[in-house]
Amino acid sequence: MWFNKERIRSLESNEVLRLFLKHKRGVAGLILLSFMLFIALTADFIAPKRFDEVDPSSRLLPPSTEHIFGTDQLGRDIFSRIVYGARIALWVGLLVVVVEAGIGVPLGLIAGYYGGSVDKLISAITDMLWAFPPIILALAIVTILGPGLTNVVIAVSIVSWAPYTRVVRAKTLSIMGREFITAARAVGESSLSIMFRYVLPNTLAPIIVLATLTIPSAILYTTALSFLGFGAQPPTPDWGAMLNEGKDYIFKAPWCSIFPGLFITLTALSFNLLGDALRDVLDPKLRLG
Amino acid sequence: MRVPEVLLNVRDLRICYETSRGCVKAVEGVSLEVYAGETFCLVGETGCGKSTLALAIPRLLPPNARILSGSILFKGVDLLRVSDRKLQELRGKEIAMIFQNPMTSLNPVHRVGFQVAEVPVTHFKMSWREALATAVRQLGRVGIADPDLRSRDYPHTFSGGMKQRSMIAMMTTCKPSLLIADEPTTALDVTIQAQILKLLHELKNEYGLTLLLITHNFGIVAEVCDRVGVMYAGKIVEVADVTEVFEAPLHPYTKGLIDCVVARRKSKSRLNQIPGTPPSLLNPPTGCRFHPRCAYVTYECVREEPRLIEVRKNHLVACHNYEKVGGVSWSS
Repeated sequence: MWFNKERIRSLESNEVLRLFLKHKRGVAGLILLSFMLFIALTADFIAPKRFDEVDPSSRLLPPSTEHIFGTDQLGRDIFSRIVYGARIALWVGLLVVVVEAGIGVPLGLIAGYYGGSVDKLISAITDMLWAFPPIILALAIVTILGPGLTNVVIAVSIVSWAPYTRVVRAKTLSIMGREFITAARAVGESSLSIMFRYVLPNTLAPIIVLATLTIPSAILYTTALSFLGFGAQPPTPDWGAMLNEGKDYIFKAPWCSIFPGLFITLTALSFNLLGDALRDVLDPKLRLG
Repeated sequence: MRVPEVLLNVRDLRICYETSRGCVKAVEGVSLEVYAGETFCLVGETGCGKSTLALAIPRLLPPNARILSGSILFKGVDLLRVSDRKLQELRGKEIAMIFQNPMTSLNPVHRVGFQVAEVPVTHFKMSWREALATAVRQLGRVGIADPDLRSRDYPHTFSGGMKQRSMIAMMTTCKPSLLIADEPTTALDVTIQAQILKLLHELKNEYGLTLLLITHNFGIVAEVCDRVGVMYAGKIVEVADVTEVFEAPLHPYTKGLIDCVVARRKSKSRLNQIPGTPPSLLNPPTGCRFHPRCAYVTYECVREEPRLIEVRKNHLVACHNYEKVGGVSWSS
């Protein structure tokens, strides 16, 4: 067939994979991320309790063999809540990145492709957005939309698509100067086709790197908003919301906040490590053109 | 004698590039006729505006270029005034273009066969299966060995010559009437150059193409051209049949260029050269633009710009003193 899988594998992935496997921090990030993914996917099996199972007789118990991360003020098992919370964190992170890229990438393509006043307008909007403190703007948007996880995703996406536009625009500008774009125009390709079939595939590597690097900030923003009470509403086991609930008992029962905090940190770290590694691995290929 | 059909008619075309230092007049009042079925060569030094002229035909000029005046009639349609949509239809189907640097002319992220197949899919609404088969056939036609296998490869696995062949395949799948080749062999080594030229010549005869060849190499001109247009500093200074240009050039610049061709040296004398350098197009000299470098310069040349006139049948020249130039050439 046309897309011969074996060829694809032997030509490209092997080289990238080989470089990636040599990248120790990258592999560490991947392992950490796989662990998070694993607990998120198998939450139903590995969680000893339901995340909303209240047990008034065992409130604020310290970590023990029965509750390895302890229990919170309502007697819920923190480990179970964290395991279910991984689903929310990862799903939200992914969703935010998809929405951000969905807004940012086409705008960057359009700005870089058409140039001139279109570019100026898009760049101005991007710069304006960039100048805002993201959390404040996100707070304002959530206040307008009302609390809830969906609205948090919308708010965070709206405040942080600007890097995509910048990166894609810059890359588009450099690609537009290449001769194969003129050649594409010379054979009668339409602007849309040139943008999506010629320019976009050539900008994929930086987009992938940017996506992995923006997932942690997306997770941090959404947990921050949840912490402030705008995000997931109880009893949703959102890590940010758990931190918020735990803060009242920080001296009496520190495990209520330590474990969600630890997992937020580890998840963000895993994406960061992975993103850095992908950048290192994909960049030399970019330089070769 | 049959009157040849004019396929491409460029009238008084003026193009400038807007730069921070002012307006660079790359093409200044060029008029040109290309007949159907011929190979027309545009010759000139680097920076004389020949590539600009070539890019202007399918309207592929960079954004800082301004077309100040003129018209480009292709089969009676003015390409400078036609809608973008219509032009898009013409590009690749009726007018195709091959570029100087084959190394960067193919999209690095798509397979070669896919890129060639895209053209008939775009223009003839051909099915992908059929288009890919066409692409393989066309790649075979332009001399890619194992076209079936190689069409599935990415451009970086191709050599320069193979990339240029692929470009030619891409540009000729729709059998356009006009093929513009902007220095198609400059980036290739000499043996490949000859093969590519031969290929272009064959395809021209096979498909009945009209070839507009841009080059600075008189060897190429002698080999494949029917008629020649010589450009200097944004203007056409001489247009004639190829034999006439070589045997009796009437413009001192053309004569100078031909004298520069190494193979034409009679003895081990110093290689001939035209003194000086081409003028800045920001601020070209008065009168005839060639006068600061010309051996035949007279007072008139400095004062008045010569017009392109037909001094002999099918031989146009823009020089006040063409009679002197022609005379010297014949006697030597």
